Amino acid sequence: MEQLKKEKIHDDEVKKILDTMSEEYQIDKVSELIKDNKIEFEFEEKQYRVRLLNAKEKDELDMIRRRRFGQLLKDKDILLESDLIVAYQEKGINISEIDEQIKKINAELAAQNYKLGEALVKTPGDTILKSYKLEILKLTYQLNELIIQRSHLLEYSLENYLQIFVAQAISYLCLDVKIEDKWVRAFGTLDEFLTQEDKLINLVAVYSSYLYR
Amino acid sequence: MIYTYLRKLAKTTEMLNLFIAAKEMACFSLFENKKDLSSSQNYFLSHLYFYHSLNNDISAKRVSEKVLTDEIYENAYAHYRNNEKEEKDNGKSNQKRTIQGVFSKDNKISFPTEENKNA
Repeated sequence: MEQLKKEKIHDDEVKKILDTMSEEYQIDKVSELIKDNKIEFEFEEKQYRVRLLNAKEKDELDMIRRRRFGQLLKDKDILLESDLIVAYQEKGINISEIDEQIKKINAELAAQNYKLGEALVKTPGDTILKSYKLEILKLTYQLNELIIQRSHLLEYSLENYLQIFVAQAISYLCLDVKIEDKWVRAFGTLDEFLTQEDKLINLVAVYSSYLYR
Repeated sequence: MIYTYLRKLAKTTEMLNLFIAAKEMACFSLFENKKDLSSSQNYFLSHLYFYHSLNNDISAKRVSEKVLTDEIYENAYAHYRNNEKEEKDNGKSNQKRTIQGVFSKDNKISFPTEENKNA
């Protein structure tokens, strides 16, 4: 029993150290990223890099975005956000009511932030600061719930499809692979990139979102 | 997640010193690129402005160090300061002015421009 306890304490300590190390490591990585906007990583024994797009690649992105927009617009099964909002309204789901609630909570959040800021300047006790903080946390939670609800409802809008597509296109364009000490575009086409392992696609999506949010 | 670390990095003394040096001396630069900032660089820079301004306010005893103990406190103080400044500025003139290094209402930093500097 005593041994188990010791092991548990040891595990907790190790976890604590690992957590700290991980934070330091992450901050270090982040510090490297912002210097030159490049993120290098290894995947299945290949060296990859995600970087900012150059002017030519931005033009390429614009072209494939416009092409995709045209395709989506022709698809009768995909509705524009405004049309989807009307379709929901006919089914009794009012998006403008959600927008109104979001607006109200934002106003309330601003008021609570002001009160907390004022309290910090006038240095009252911890109890009042904590009570404002709790109120802000509660409102932020409510706000996030509404934002998630709204984005779920509009998930199948043309605008959302286009946004997802653009994120994929950016991932494809900004990904390089190292071949004989030279960086070259990792995949010849967007389709080729999208047929790769999900793990690689997701990793690149996360890294490219650090550069383009 | 990266934004948590970027904010922590912007709060470090090392980065704040580098920020001051980059502001005052052309030979110091925070990033390799001078334009076309990425979203991470923009976020980081806005937080450097913010923490620089916050540390100045703490030194001038406009607010206690307690504000640095919680990010919610930091955001709230930035919001309060921004509102106070805006009210003060609106009292002086009808022209809107932005405040260097302080969050605006939508939690973004307003950078000074030639126009509002001289307003």
